[in-house]
Amino acid sequence: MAGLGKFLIRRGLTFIPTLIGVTLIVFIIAYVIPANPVRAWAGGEKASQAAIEMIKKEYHLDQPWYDQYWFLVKGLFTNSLLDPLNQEPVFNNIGNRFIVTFQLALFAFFFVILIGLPLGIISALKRNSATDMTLRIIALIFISTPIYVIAYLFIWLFFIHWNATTLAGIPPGPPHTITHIPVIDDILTLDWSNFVQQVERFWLPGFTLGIAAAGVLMRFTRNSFLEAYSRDSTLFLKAKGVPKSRLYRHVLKNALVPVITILALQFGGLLAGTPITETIFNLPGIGLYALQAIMYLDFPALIGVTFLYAIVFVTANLIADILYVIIDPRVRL
Amino acid sequence: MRGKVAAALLLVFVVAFSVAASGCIGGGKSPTTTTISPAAGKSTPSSTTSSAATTVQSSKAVKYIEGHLSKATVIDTPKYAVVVGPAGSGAKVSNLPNKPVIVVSYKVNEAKTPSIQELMKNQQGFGQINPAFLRDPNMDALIQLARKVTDPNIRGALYNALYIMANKEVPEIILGDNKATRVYWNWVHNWYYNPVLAPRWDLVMEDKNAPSVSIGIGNYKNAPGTIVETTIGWPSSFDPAFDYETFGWALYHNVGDTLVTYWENETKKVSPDLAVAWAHNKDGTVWYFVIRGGVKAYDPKTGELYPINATDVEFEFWRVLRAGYSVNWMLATYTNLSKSYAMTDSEFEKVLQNGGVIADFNGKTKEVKNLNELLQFFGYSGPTAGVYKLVLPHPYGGILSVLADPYLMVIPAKYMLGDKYEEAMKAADWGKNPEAWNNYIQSGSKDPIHQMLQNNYIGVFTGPFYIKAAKQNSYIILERNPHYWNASIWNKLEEKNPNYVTTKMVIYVLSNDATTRISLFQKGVADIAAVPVDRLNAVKNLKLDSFESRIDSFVTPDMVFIVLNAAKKPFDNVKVREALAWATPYEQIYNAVYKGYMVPNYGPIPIGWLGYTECCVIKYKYNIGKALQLIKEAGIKPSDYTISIYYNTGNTQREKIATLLQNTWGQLGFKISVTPLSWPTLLSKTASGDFDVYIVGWAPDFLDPDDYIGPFLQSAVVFDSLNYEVIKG
Repeated sequence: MAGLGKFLIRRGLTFIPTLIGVTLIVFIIAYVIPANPVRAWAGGEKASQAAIEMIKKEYHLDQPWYDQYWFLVKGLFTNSLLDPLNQEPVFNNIGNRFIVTFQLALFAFFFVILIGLPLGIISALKRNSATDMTLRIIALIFISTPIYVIAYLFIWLFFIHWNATTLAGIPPGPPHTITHIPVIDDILTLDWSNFVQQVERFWLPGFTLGIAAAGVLMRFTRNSFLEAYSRDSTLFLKAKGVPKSRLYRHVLKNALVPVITILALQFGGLLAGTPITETIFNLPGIGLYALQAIMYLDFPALIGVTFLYAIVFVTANLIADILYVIIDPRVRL
Repeated sequence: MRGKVAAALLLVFVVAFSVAASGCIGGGKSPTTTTISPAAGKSTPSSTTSSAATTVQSSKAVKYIEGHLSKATVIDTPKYAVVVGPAGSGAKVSNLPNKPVIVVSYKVNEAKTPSIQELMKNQQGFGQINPAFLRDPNMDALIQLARKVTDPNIRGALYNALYIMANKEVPEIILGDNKATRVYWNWVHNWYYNPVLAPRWDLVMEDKNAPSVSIGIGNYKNAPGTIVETTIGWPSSFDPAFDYETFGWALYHNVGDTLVTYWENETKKVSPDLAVAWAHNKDGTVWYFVIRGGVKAYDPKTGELYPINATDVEFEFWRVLRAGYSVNWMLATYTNLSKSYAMTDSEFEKVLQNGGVIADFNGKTKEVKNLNELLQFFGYSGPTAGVYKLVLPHPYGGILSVLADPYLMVIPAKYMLGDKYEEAMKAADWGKNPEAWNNYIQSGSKDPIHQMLQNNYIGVFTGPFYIKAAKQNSYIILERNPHYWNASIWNKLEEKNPNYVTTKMVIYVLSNDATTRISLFQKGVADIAAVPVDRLNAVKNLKLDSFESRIDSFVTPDMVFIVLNAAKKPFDNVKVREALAWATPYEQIYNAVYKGYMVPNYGPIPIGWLGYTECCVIKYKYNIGKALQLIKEAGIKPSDYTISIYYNTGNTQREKIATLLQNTWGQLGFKISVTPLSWPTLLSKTASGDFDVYIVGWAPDFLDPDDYIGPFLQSAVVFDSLNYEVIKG
C-alpha cells in the first residue's frame, strides 16, 4: 500500500486539468450557441431594456469569451456567482440540491446492493436453472421498463393505496447537522423520528431508481461470478477438495473487482441526478437543476453543474481504484 | 388638461361594463368610409358599421376635422366617434356617426422616431415596439393620449377605438382569454378570485370538521385552519425588487402590505391598506397617501418590531427603482420618485390649506381642506404615520392599480439599512432628498440590502402572515403574523361563520409533476392543487370522509395569441393577416387544446376591462372560404411562402395549436413548418424580428388596459405635438 500516497498525489494533479478542460468545453459550447440568454434572465417577454443592459454588464456578457469564462470560474470559487434565475449563489443552489441527490443516491444504492448482488450470485450458482431464467427475466424487466411507468405505478400502490410513503416536500433534516446529509446525521445523532421521516419520504424514489440499476448489477455479478468460477485457480481449489464455502469466498473475491467498478460508476451516475425521478417524486435534486440550466441557458448554473459532475466522476473512479487495492492486493497503483 | 382626475376607478369600470352590456349603438348597415391611415400606406379597415341615424349633425365636427387634420381615420365606438390623423388641414370625412366626436391630431417627429430596422437591431420587439413590428402612428397617438387623459369616458372611448383598430389590423391573432380552473376540497370556504392579485389566505376559511392529514414535512398536518396548496413555482427572488413572476407576487401578497389593495374579488376600486386615505391635485400629477399609524413589521427571527411610517414607503419605492430589475419599469414610467418624498402631517396640512387637493373614494369626489376632513371622507379615525407625496410625470389613470402590486410592499428601512439607518436618513434629510440614498443602495444584484433580503428568506414584513420556513423548490410555510394590524378581522370572520375556522398556517408544497400534485390532492394532503386542464378528470367527484372535490373556473385576463411579423412579407399585407385570422380553428383550439377553458376575445383588452367592447369588431371564426377570398384579394401567391411557427419547447398546448395551424393555414396554400425553440432563443429571435409567426401569452401587471394595449400595439413613434378635442353634437 506504500504506493497509495504517491498515487493519490498523482491522481490529484490530474484533477485540475480535467476540471478546467471539462468546464471550458462546456462553456465554449454554451458560448457559441447564438441565442442571447439575458432577456430570459431579466424577466422574459417583460424584460426591460435597462435591466437587460444591467445584467449584461453584471455577468460580463459584453466582454470577450475568456473574460466571461474567468468571471464564471472565479465567481464559482469565491461563491459570489449568483444564479440569475433565483438570485442565490450558484454554489448554494448546487449544495442544496446535491444534498437531496446524495440522499436519494444512498437510498437507491442501498436497494441496488440489496437486490442486485444476492440475486446475481444466486443466479450464478443456479445457472441455467428455472430460478436463473426467472431472475434474468426479472432483471431484464427492471432494466427495460421506463422509469416513469414504474414510478407512477409505485406512487399509486404505495402512496394512494397503502399509505406507505409520503410525497410532499422534503422533510427538514435533524436540528443538529454534522455531514448535512439528513439520514446520516440522523444516524449519528440518534434522531430516530427524523430518520423515520426521511426514510418514509426517500425509500420509494430510492427503490424506483434502485431496481433499474439493480438489474444491471445483477447481470454483471452473475457473469463476473461465472467467469471467476471457471478459472483454473478455482478448478485447482476444487481438485484440492476445499470446502464449498471457502471456494465461493475465493470466487467472490475475484468476481468483485469488475462489480465494484460498476458500482462506483453507478453511484457516480446517481449523483449526477435523475431528472425524471426527481420530477415525478418532487425532489429538487441536481438533475432537474442541470436540465433547467440548459433550458434557460443559465451559464452560471451550467458551469457549476459541470464542475460538480466532473468532480463526482473523477472521485468515483478514484474510489473504485482504491477499492481494487483493498480487495485484491495484487493490483498495483 | 381637460376632464376630471384620474382616480375615479369606479366610474371607469361602470363605463367598461355598461359599454360591454350596451353593445353597439344603432347597428345599421350603411357603411362609413374611412380614409387610409397615412404611414401604413395600405388599405385599413375599409368599412365599419355605423349608426343608421347619421345626420349632418356633426357639421361642426366635420368642419373642425377639415381645419385640423390632413388625413382622418374614423373609428366608430359605442359612445363616441374617434377621429385620428396627422395635424394639418383638408381632411374630408363623410357620414360621421351621430355621436360626440373625439378628434385627435398629432405631428410625428420623424428624426426622433426610430426606424423598424433600428428597433429590430436593438431587440425591441415586445419592448418599445409591439411584437408584430407593425407601425401605425394613429395607434401610437391614441395610446399616448389615453395614458394622459383622466376622464374615464374619454379614456374608455380611446381604448375602445384601439381595441377595434387592433381587431381590424390583426398584428396579433387573439386566440382568447384563459379560464383559470381551481381544484379544491369543499371544506375550503370563501376562496375568492381576483384577476390581478392572488388570494390572501387569511380571508379563506375551512370547515371545522375537515380531516387532519399528516403531510410528511416535519410534524405539520393539513388540519382545519391550515391551507395546503400544491403548485408549481419558486420566487425568482426573496427580495421583491427582483421578482417579476406570479408565484413570488402571490407569496408577497400574503406576507406584505402595499399602499392600496384590491379587497377580495373587488376589481372596480382599490381599498386602503398601508395608506388609510389618499388625495391628489387637480390635474392628477401629485398624489398624497396618508400612512396608517401603528403598523409594525415583525421579525420572526428576533421578535423585534419595526414601526412603519411614510419614510419607509419612500425608501422602499426608491430602492425598487434603484435596484434596476425589469419589474421597476412601472415606477420608472409612471412616477417621478426624485420629486416624491415623505411629509409630516403638519406639512401636509399646509398643502391642504392652500386648496386644490381632491379625494376620490367610493364613487364620491370632494375637495378636502384639512387632514381630518380627508380621514373622515375615507371613514378612518385611527392614528396616522406621515404622508407620502408621490409625483407623476403626467397624470395616469392606472396609477392606483400599479400601487396595489405586491412587489411594492413596504419593508422597514431600519431593518434593511441596519447600522446605517440614522446616517442614511440624515444624508437624505429624512427623505426630502432621496437621491442621497444612492450611496446606500446599489443597482443590480451586488447590492448588500438585496443580498441580505435574499439570504434571509424569512424577511421582516407587515402582512397577515410571516414566512416561517422555506426549502428551495420544495415548500414554503407561512404562519399567522400575531402583530398584523388588521388581526381583528379573524375573530370577526369566525364569529360570522361559527362552523368555519380561519387560516392560521399556509403550506405551499411545490411539485413540477401534475400526477404527483393530483396524488397529494386525492389523499387530502393538499386542500388545493394546480391541475392542468387535460387532467381535470382525475380530480372530479372525489370523496374524502363526508367531503367532495370541487372544480371552479373563472375567466382570467391571461391571453394567448399568435404574433404575425408585419414587417415581413406576406404579413405586411393586412388582408393576409385577416385571412390567417379567418383560417385559425378557434373552436378546435378551445376544445382540443384548452378543454373548453378558454373564451373568445377579438382584440388585445381582457374581457370586461375598460375599453373592451363587442361592438364594431369583426368576430373571427374559422371560415376557410372567407380566408381564401381574402388571400385572393391580397394578390399574393401562398405557395411562394414558407411560414415557420415558433413556440417554446415543452409547452404542449402551444405545440398542439401550432400543429392545428399547420393544417388549416396549409389549406390556404402556404407551406408551414412548426419549430420549437428554447425559451431564451425564442425571446431573442422574436425580439429582433427574426421570425414569421410565434405563439405566446400575456398576463397583466396591473388592472389597466394600457398594460395590454401598450405592449400589443405601440411602435415607438415620437410626437412633436399630440392634441385632442371633444366635439359634442
